[in-house]
Amino acid sequence: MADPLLEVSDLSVRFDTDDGLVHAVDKMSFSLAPGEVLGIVGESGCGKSVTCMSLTRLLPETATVTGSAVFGGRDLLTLAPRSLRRVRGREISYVFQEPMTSLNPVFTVGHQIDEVLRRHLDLSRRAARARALELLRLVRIPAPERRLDEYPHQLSGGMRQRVMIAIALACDPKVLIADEPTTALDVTIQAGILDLMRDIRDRLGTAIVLITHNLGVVADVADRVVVMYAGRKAEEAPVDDLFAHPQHPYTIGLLGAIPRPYEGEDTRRRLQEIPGRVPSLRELPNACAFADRCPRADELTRSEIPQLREVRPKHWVACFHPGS
Amino acid sequence: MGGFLIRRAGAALVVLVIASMLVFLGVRAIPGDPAIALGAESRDPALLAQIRHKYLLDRPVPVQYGHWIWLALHGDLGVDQRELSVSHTIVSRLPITLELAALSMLLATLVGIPAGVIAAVRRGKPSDHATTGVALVGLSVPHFWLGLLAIIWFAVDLHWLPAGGYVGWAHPLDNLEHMIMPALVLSAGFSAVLMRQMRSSMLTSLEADYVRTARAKGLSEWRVVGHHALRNSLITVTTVMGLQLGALISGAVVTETVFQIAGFGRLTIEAVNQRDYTLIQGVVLVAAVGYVVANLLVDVVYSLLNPRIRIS
Amino acid sequence: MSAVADPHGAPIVDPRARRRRLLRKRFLRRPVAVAGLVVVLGFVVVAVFAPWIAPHTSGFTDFDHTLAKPGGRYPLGTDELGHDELSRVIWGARSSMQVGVLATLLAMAIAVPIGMVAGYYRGWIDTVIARATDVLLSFPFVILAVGLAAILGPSLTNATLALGIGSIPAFIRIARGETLALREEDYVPAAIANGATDRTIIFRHILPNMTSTLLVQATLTIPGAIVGEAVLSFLGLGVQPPQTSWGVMLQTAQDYLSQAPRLAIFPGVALVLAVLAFNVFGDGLRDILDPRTTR
Repeated sequence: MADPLLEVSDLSVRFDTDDGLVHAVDKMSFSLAPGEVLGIVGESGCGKSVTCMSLTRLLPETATVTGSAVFGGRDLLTLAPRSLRRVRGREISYVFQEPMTSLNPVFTVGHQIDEVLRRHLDLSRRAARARALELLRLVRIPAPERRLDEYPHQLSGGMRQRVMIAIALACDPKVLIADEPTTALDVTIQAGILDLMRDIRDRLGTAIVLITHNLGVVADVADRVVVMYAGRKAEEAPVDDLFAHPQHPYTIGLLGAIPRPYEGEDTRRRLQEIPGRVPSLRELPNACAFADRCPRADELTRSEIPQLREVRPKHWVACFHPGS
Repeated sequence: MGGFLIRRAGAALVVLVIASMLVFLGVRAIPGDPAIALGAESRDPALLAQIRHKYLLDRPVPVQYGHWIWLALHGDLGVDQRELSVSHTIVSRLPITLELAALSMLLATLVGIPAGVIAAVRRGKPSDHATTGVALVGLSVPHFWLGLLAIIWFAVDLHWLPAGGYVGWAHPLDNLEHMIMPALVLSAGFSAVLMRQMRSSMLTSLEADYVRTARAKGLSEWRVVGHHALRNSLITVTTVMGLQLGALISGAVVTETVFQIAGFGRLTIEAVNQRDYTLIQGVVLVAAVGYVVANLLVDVVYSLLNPRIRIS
Repeated sequence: MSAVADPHGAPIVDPRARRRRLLRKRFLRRPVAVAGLVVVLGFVVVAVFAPWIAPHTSGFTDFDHTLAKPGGRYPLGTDELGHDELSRVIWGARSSMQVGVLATLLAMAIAVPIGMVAGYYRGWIDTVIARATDVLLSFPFVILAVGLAAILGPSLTNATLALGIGSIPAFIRIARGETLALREEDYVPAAIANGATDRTIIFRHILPNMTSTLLVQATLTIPGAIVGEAVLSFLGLGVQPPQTSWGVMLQTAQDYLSQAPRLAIFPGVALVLAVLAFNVFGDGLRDILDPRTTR
């Protein structure tokens, strides 16, 4: 890979709660190349959102983050707050899951886009307004002049999410981190947002980190995929290879759980569910986290943490018994 | 917004009508002959006959009520025991109380809101505990006692401020000198409530998703707190202001009694002590109307401030 | 609800006892609230046992020792008529507690049924009640008391009445809110399917689940009523002599501020302590019963 845009190494996040320590993320490492779309997949609570929020230190004070996240030659995790604020919104920006609550209800759409433009780029009012209109057109919002003076509650869910994307793209960032951008939206709207993401990647060359629990979304848009389980990376591969040759039993289980339309005798089968539950994140077991639910579990998996190995070209898996 | 306000206004109107009926019937409910009550307990038959005629006491009650309301809507609330126009007395004393109330609200806002914001931002730290503690004490101390203490301290011991009384606007400095202690005392409870509400509201705002978005945009913490969170919290707190209006009126009555200020509040007590029923009727009616109207005003302000209601 | 067994054979625990233990643990972690409770109980004891604790009756006067300084026979001194301040403070506690509790109980007795009817049946009854409550929520109780005093004459009973009526809207709002939420719980349609009448549902299912919220509100209403009584007595609309209350004591103290400021201080301190204790305890109670609390 050419010089990566973002290089995350051994990222660990633990939360200090009243019931003890919770290890949300355990030694995650991944990198992001310029212009690529990286999908991070996993079920709720596996640590994918926490990983990405920790990159620009958006987590609450109860979180302790260790490891490194090198971006543009500097480690974001130890960067001075002032410099960090210059990176946020300007070079790395976010789109969150809930568009209704992510926008401030008491300010107009125009004001909220304006704000980030004036913070980072020294634009005059007119230039800022022009740029805001341009952005709204970019995210394909109809009648943008009117929208600028409207309030979030006057827009539909899909449009609000587009506004969020517009705000995120306002300063032409190098990285866009989208945390479950379509989960709170209707299925029909989802397609539109995903189209938009592809468009952004193609036209603007922005690298995108797409966090989701929905494998279908990933198949649609991503170039590479990272599968997370219980705070650790389970598998990483280019998207086609992941779907064609999944290695980790968890990934295989996830793929088996995708409902597929009836295609004739041979392909008809029951939805496979993965038995058991996600382990508690309070103790970090010194074993494979998936062992309890894995059909391939044995002595080895219960006594050691599997390390990442490259089992196919550019395809890594952390498993003692990989293979499709 | 129109719908919201119309419903509020409708409810207010209904309450006003019921309140006026209660006030009216209240006087008629006093055991004994209403003519005697309205005529300052005099037993002179000629006088009583005059009163009966004037207040239409031999007509059915609804007619009397209608007559009274009709007059009231034209600003005529009758005459009190000393033959002085009730409306005139009220109008001359009301501005004093309004000044007291306005000053108190101003002080309470200037103190309570920043205190609440600071406590929320520094949650759990010593400054939060200290401010919250002071607010709790401020809530628990009845302000007439505070007034008495203030008089003991500032007027009797230190001779800094006068112990009571009121001076008109012609002498603004004197006016302020007399009003500052009563206003401060009256604002104490209000500030405490405001501070707690502001703190609670800010804590909620600071946990909201849009604050996370604001930080993700790279905005400074000042802007995140002072612009994004604060605006939302202030709007929520406006409704609290409305809830405090009644307490403000009650407080004004007491504060004026403690500081011997001849305002509208004190008038209510004087009226009861003198058993001057016409005056009582007028005073209670005006107080009820004032309360309802003020609440409605707060509703208007709130609906203007909150875009979700203003544009719906 | 009796004991629940864990499917994996874990020990059987009674959920209600466990919750009580959890609440007790949480409460003990809040020393300030505990202190509040202790002080409240202290005042309750003083109020109940006043006839035995107070050295003199409230009407007792000693004309030879008016405005006496604290100490000796009269630990807190006497007022201008020779009343023993200490006894009066104790008797005052009794009046204040009485009014505080009675007014709150009165308010609850009237407001809770109204609120529950509004929340349960909804429709136009609810609209009317809700709107009226909105407007009356903070109606100045002094004006109410003035009105009542004008018609019925000033007395402790009428003050209690005025304070009780003044607290009704707040309780209606709480009862209505809780009922609105609780009627959506799953056991309601289940009970209806089993043939339960409206009355059964309201009294057996909804009301018991409201008690903790009502309790918190009561704990925070009583101090308001206590202060309210003091205010009304101070204004001459409440307790009448020879009965005494802290408010009455403060009224007479007003005339002697320069000579004997202590006449204002003792009853005032007692008042503040009682109110503060209730507020602190009530706050703590609300905190521990809040499902969002983690400690």
